[in-house]
Amino acid sequence: MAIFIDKKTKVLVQGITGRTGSFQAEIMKDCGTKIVAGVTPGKGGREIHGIPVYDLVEEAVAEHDVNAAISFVPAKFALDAAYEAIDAGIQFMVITAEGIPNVDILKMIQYAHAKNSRILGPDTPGLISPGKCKIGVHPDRFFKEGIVGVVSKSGALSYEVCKSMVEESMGQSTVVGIGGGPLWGTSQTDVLRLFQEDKETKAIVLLGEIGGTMEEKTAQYIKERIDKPVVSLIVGRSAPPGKAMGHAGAIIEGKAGTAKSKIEALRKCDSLIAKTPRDIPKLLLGVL
Amino acid sequence: MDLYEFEAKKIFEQYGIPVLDGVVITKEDDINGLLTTISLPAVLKSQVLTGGRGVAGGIKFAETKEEAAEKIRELFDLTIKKYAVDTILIEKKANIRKEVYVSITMDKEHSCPVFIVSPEGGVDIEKVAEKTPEKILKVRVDIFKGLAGYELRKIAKKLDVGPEIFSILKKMYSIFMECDANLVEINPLAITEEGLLAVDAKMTIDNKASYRQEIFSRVERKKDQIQKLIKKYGLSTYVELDGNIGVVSGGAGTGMLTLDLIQDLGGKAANFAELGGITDAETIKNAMKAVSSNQNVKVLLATMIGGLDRMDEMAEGIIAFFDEHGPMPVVIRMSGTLEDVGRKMLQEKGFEATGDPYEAVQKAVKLSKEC
Repeated sequence: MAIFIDKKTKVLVQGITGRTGSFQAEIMKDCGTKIVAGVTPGKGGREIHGIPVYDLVEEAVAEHDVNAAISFVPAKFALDAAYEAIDAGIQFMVITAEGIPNVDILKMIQYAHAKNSRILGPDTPGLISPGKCKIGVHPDRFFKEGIVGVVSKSGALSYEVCKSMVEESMGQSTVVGIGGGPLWGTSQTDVLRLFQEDKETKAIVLLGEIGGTMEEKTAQYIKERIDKPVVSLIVGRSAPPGKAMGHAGAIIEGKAGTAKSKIEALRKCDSLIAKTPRDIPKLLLGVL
Repeated sequence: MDLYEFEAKKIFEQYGIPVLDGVVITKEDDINGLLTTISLPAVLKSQVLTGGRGVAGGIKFAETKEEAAEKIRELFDLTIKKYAVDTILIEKKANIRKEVYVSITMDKEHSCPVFIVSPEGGVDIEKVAEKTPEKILKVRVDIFKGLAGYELRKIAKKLDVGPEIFSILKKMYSIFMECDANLVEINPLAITEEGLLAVDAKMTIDNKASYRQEIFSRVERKKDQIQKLIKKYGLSTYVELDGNIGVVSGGAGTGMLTLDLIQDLGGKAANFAELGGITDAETIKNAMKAVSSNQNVKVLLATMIGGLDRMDEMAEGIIAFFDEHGPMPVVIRMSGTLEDVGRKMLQEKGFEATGDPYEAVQKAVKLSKEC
């Protein structure tokens, strides 16, 4: 078991003929993901790495069984691509683009919600269930099949932490990147709820960062709903107020969003606190 | 991008939200000429992109043109929270009976627009929220349904104003959605003898929508040193800090981690640049140029863990940077896609690269203390 995806997941790639889309589609295919079709308007009828390309999502789903999509469509056109996938009945979408206007993000999230679809992202590296499926851009050498569920705002930080875990022979059930914010189609608690239900996941790693109040709300959720051990790492402890540290959401505004407030909230709600990635496998060993 | 009050009011006017006729005066203008066009008694408002200008003496009143001329000169000498006043908006003083607060902003938790309103207008809304939260009403808007009649009535009831506010609320919502605004705030919205009036106006436009909002090409903003640097080197993030280690990182999360580790080990970062999404040799070369341009930087620390970033390209960029810049102390951490190739390229040029982030930070902190 894994969350959101498994060995049977059949994936459609939107923007498959672009530089990143075609490169990442090939890597995903190589690590075992079932990529069944790709879409780029005006490029239908071709093949890329043996994957058939269509002009429209509805043409692709008429020919293939599809349960998930990943979009490499640039920010300007990302909303339209999301509408297209949702209207074609795709219920799980990874949206990688960075820099989508907030109003467009609101529209895609609300539309997906109304149509019973889920968006992961935007501005996300996607997700990986090592050994089963990857819908994303993760370098799979840093990951290994296992029993720890990981949820992260930052992509690279999840690579760093999973690398530390693998060095201690510890693997992951699913690693989910929710994106850098400030708006999220899938929140930390959405992911935690599924990890709680997932039989294969025995412990959870939460990788958060400064800015907003999501981690504080997640802390409360952990206390009320999660009985699996949780290890949390919050980066940005040293960040000064008022400066966005690379992610739109990673900014301390007034008293809100500090690492201290997040760490205190998580500690109070029974999460173990890691100071750096290296602590994470050690803390996990103590609870598994 | 934050808009000045007079810029936001221009948009209000286009949408039909009532504002007073105003005259905008800058330091370079013929002040006496413009003064013939103002209505008296007048209110003179400093145009600065920060709150609390009233408390700082940035708003003055004048009964006569002579008084106005004198007070304009006083305002132009004023600096409010490091912002020098160089533009003033002059409006006729309104006869205000009552002031309320209305704004629409982004509800990040629920991913929808939210109206925040309070019968306590003209004051710091965050203080109201803290001390008397019962005086604040939030109404989240379903963007596919739009603002419903009962929601308008609910807001009017809370504010104790008549249905004349409905059209203002609807127009604020239109501005929010059509202009890619992340905030539209009227504080205060005044109830006057002549009806409702937006006495102040505050707007923030989403920078990510600069490609489709013409206001970005219309209004000018002085760029500070940091913004100039970001533009010059095409950086995705650049932050100045106050130490002596220059940090370049592959991603935002790992960048913050690196800064935390530096602090834990007793070092101090001078600045931080992050490469962001799609990278190549040029990206890292430019990031290293930007970071090293800060005079406080004594040691460079480049730390990368590559998914999308290819370490051969990173090595190429680092080597190109030093070819141009000449030698300076540097620590390189390289891990991920093609790291063996990258490391070998660096070795051939006499650079060492570790795969371990802790070792890299330790070395950089040690070097920074020897400088």
